[in-house]
Amino acid sequence: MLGRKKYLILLVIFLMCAAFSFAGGQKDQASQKTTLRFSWWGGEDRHNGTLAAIDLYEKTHPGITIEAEYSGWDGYYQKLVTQIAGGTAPDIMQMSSEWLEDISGKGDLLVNLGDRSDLDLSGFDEKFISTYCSIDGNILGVPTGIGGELLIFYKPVLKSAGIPLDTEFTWESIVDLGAKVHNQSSDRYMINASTSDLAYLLQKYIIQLSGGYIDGKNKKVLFSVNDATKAFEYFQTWFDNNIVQPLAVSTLFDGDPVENPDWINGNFGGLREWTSGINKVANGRPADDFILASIPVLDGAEDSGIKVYPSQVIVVNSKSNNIDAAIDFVNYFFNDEDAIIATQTIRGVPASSIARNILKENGLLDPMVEKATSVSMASMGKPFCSLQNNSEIKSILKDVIEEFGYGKLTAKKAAETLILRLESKLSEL
Amino acid sequence: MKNIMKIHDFDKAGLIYISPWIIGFLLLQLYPLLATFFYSFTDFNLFTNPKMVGLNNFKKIFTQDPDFWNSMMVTFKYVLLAVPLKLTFALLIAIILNTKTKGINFFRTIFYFPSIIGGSVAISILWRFLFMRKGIINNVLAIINIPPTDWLGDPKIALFTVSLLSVWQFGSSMVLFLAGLKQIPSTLIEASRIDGAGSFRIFFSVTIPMITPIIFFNLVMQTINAFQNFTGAFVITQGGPMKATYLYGIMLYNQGFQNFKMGYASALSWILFLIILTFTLILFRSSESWVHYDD
Repeated sequence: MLGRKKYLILLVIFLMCAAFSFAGGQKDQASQKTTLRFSWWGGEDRHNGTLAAIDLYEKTHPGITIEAEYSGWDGYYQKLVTQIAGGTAPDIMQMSSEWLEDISGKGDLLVNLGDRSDLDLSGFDEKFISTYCSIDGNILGVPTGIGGELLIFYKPVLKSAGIPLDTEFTWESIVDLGAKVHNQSSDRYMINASTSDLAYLLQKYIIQLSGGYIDGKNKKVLFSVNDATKAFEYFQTWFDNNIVQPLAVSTLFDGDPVENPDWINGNFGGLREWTSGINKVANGRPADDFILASIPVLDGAEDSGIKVYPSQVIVVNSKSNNIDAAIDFVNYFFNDEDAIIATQTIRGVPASSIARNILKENGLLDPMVEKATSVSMASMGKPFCSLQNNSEIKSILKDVIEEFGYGKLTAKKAAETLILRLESKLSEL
Repeated sequence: MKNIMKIHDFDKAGLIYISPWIIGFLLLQLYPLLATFFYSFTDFNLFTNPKMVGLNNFKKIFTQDPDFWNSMMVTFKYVLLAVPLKLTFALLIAIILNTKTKGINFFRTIFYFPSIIGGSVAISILWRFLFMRKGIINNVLAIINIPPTDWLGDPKIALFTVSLLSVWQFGSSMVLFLAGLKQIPSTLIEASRIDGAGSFRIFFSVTIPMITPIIFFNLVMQTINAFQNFTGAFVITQGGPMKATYLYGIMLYNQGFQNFKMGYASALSWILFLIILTFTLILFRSSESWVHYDD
């Protein structure tokens, strides 16, 4: 009898422990509210603006709670795709349009927004949506802003080096002027760029020389050893003339050049950035302190290689239990005047003409972001093929540039290595 | 009969007590272990069903993946750097703290503190700022006219700098050494002194042999941890510069969560498991010749 009592007590203790560990998450059932999860990446101003829009929605829709899941860029993609694979992804997600093909290729994971009569997409350019947000005719994402890339120069550094502020920034002039910046002070450099940014710029140089980078359909490299060698030789002049910091110094801030203390202390003449990151770059400094310039384009280039595409897209998880509510929020986010005013240009100049008009009428279109967008659109290149966004393809260029930047490869050897590795990877994929 | 029944009752009670651990072990350790073994023979991207490819993943790893050999080399170098340094520091500090001085507990806490906070992302970010070219370390060295070093940007020394983050977290090994030192009978030390042995002789001929079980335990645990190290190098250098700190864990993570080749990553994880198992067995085998147990 004593033995049985002991077992019963132990069993009860065990069941209580199990009950406590599985408790929680019952709030929604108990209160009968709909809860949506919305994830995005960004900086402080994006988080604040988006939270403000969510707050407004919740006030006008008392039965709906939106749980915000936001973070910085680092690790966002890996976490999101793991969540999607594990069936735990949020209802509404911010993604890059570059991920749509990859993710949609892995199954019916995103709602076809083109089929939804409860989502008003009339403010968006049809061609923009069909080029960047649709896969096989299905609209899988709503573009947030018009994203482009450009060069942003910091006037105080240029002025102190005696560089006229109306300079036309070409590939050649950057080298000449860059030497002046470094000669004025050995702590100063013309461009704040480490491996990732150099990879972006060198890729554009190659595309401008050759007309293309890779052909995703036929799995071919579209540039020659000569073209790539010229590109690497050009960027060798950046290292030789101290246009950029040595890679050994800048590598610690690769991917986040604005975190480089030398940028914060005003020791760089400029950097390459996306239009949606303008406010992060300015970091509270007045807009007048900056010059927004196009990434240089070689004379006669058929394709500038400059990307203009959605800053991000907002998608809805097809496995969500609350698809209707999610679509309703997305519709509100992009078309409601209050939401548009709350979010302004935190994701770049809005891709929706409705949003742009509302912001203009209210004097809220950030002039710096608007100018950045028009600068980059003025030299817009052709859309990239999807394989160009493949993580393994991208890392090949980064690895070769790193070896080149550390002096392990000559320009010609770097060109040959790049083509060899790309061809090998393309044949595998 | 009564005795047999008593033993039977005891087993059942014991099982119920440890059932939460058993369930956790089955779900969170044994199942993933067996699942990765299965996936290592497949092509699996997390989204579509795994496709059997036999030994293809292992073949590619050993014959077509230069990153594998680089990461193996980097990881071995890291283990050979970090583990001896960490254990040496831990033992030296434990010896210093093995005194009966006022406030000694405060110092023991201070030296243990990095073990609690050291593995965090925040500390890894701090490490980056400490060791950058214009960081505090170079500023301090400049006082004695040592020119600045790219501690994390120079491929030749980046791994050493990253390993310092692990060495800094010597607290848990130190605590074990301290416990071991306290267990050395004082009579042995006194007898050695009476026989005319100096401090060095006592340390190498009495102290070290008496704490070899602790040394062995720390060596095994720290070696296993070092082979699996990930956070510090991932946050500080992302495996760079030029893959000089591209530890096996980072390569595995990239294959699994960046390139979504879960089958390939599973094969890599099993190879790492076998390497760690081999080293552990070698250490256990070698312990027969140098570890001294009192009993």
